[in-house]
Amino acid sequence: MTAARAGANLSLFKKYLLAFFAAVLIPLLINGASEAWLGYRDQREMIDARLTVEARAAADRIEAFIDGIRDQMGWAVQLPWSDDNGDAHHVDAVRLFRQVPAMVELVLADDRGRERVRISRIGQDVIDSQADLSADPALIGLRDNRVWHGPVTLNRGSEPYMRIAVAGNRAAVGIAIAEINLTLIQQVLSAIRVGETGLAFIVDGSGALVAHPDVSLMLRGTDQVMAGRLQALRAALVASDGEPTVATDFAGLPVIAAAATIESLGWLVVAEQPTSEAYAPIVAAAWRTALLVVAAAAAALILAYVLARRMTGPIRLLEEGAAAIGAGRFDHHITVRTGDELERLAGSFNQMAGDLALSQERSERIARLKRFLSPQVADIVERSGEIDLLAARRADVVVVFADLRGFTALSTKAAAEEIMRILGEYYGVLGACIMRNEATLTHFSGDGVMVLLNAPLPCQGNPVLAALKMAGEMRAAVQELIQEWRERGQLLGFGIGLARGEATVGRFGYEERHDYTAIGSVVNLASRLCSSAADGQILLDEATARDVAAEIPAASLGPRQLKGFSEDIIVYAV
Amino acid sequence: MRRRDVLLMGGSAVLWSAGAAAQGHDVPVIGFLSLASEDSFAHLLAAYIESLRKAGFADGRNVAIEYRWANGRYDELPTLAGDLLAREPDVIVASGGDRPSLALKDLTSTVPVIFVGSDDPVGLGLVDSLSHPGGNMTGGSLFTSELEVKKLELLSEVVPKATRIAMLANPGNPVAVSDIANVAAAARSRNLELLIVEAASAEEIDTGLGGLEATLVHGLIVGHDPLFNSRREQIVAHVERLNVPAIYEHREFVEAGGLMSYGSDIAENYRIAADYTARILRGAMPAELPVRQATKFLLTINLKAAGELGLEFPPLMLVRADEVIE
Repeated sequence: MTAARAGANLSLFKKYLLAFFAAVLIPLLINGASEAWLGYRDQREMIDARLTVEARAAADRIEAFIDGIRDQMGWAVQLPWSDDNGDAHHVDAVRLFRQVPAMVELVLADDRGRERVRISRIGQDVIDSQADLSADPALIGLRDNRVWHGPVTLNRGSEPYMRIAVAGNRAAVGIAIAEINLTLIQQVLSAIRVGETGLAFIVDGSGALVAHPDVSLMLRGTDQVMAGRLQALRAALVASDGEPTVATDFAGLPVIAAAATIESLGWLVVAEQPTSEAYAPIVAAAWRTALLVVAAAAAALILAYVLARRMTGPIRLLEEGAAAIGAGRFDHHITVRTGDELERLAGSFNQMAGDLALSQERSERIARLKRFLSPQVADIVERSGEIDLLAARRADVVVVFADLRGFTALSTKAAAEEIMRILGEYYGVLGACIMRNEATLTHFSGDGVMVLLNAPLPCQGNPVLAALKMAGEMRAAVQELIQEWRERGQLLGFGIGLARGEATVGRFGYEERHDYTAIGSVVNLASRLCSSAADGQILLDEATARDVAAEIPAASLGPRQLKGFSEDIIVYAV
Repeated sequence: MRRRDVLLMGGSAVLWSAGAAAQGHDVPVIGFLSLASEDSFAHLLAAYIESLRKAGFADGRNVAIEYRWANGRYDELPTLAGDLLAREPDVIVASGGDRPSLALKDLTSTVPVIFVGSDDPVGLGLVDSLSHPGGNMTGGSLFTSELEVKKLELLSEVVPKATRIAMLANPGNPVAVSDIANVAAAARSRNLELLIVEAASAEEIDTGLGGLEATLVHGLIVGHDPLFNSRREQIVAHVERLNVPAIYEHREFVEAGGLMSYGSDIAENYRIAADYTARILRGAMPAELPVRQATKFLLTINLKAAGELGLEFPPLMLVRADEVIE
């Protein structure tokens, strides 16, 4: 019982928990997942757009840096060369040199491609060397364009250098070729911030790193690891068709990278932001959702527990109540004050207990009634609920007495088993007759029975007719028995006496021992008539016989002296 | 919550303590070994400490700096280096040319060393290459040897009629021999006679420059050397007495009254050293930190000194000068 209840509690708790999980957690998880997905998409779109802009802006700044140098160089290619103005060009060169700190070396050549001025920050200045520069790639490059950018080379295998050549607007002004230390682009790049920790760097056409905000990366020259990552990044950016892509930075961490090209230089400017920073808002949202889910789970757990507890209390009361009622304690009252269905259920239990108490009382009563009423009568009495029917009153009744002749003699000599067998057969048939005719057995003793008709329920039609009919059936049935008994050597007879008249009927007795019976002279009369009857005889008094004279004529046997009656009674036999 | 904590602690703090623990210190220890003297290098040290502070390391707070000054005495360097290494520093800064780095190179191949103002880190075997040092050393290089010829060129422009030039060189400097050879070759091509004055100590500076006859030379090149840098007042005083135009490596000489200087910004090299110190304290490997080269070369001239010498700078020199002290 206890174990079963514990099991039931547990399952109720589980059910509540499941319900709350379904009701709270699933929508929360779906919401969280969709929010994360949408957040990721929006954030990614935003990052992509921003990185694209950053990359373009960085590219523009780098281009402006290089273009600035080119424009400065324009000053050195304005004065046409002649034999005697070398000094003026030298001054131009020195002033230009002074203006552009990134310039390591500057060469001015005349319209014939001869070197006229070479100034350097490290090497020696050479004036008017007249060296033939026509085979220099810079001069070859300048045949078709006003500006030429050389490839990025590494100074001492470390610093990125690049040559820029500029031609004037006419051949006579010659050309200027400058060697630029690109390390100084680092200053431009380090001023560019992409988000909090993002950055921009430059890769040249061959996929080598040109410039990076971290100088130590820039100076690594041809680093195998870096070259591999740069090539992978370049390939990813090409594959994504210009769209930002997720790649790996130099430290091997995931980044989102966007690229913009500087057409004139063939450089790729990459703006990148660590994914950890880029997705921080999404990660934060995911954490919030996770926290919410945990909180909701805890709340569901507590709520399920509390509700289960609130349910199991009343349920236990109900269970105990049911057990008490089952044990027959109908006065047990279940007190549940939950104000809901459970309280109603408890009310129903209490109601049921009351009904069961009534029902049991009734069935006990019926059981008692059935002792003296025929089942049909008992049922009627029970169904009508009129226990008053059994109350004491004066009534017109027919009293029938019947007993065996020679039974007393038999009982003294026959074996107990034989006596019991005879009585069993005897009452078997009598009982059947009484019940069949809806008569009321008031009592029996030994071989005699007393039966009432017209009480407690009135008979349909003449009660005497009914009594006679029953008596007839009794006689026929018992006579058959008597034949059988005779064959077994037991000589017995059977007589009946009946009379109609006023009598006091009702239940008499004490405590549980109540019998329904009739009291009055008519009972006496019927009893005496029975005693007077010979085997097979049904005796009636005159008044009773007259009552049914029309239907069943009875033969008068003349007056007889009956015990207890002062006058002779005229006896009739049927 | 935990994630934020990790982020807050991120990188630096955890790495410092890990590094410090590895060496058995409460805070990381930086060894500072210098050929020079503390007073003459104060402004450079200040540049280093300021940059280090900006990089997140403050002396006495989350880092301790252990100094060893040789005060110009080369022979003390091995002892000082050994003494410094006994303190088990997390990183050593070798200041004042290549001698301190070379002294450390003989004693350790594991303790990270950042050299400042190396003349030829590859040639001297401090690193495998500039882009990939490959060992326990990295730092900044000025390549000032290459500038010695440039200095001759600039001096010649100021005194175009000169026929005899002197050069103060320190035989204790590992690159002195090649420097002298380069300058001598350039002088020959300019038809200049070159007189070498050697000095490897403060006393030798006095005897060397003191023995120079003012009428004998038309100009002086003060070779690049940490010892000379730390004895600049002394050298400038001799030059003033000699009353000859002289060119120096650093602007500090010009500030002290010298005529002109041409060289890289050495303070910048100390800022780079601070950057690399911070990186190494945060776990970077010196083998993977490329040697930084000087990118700025500054010409500084002193008009007052020129006036006293009774000479005028040619106009191009004025154009070219990055800084003019009047």
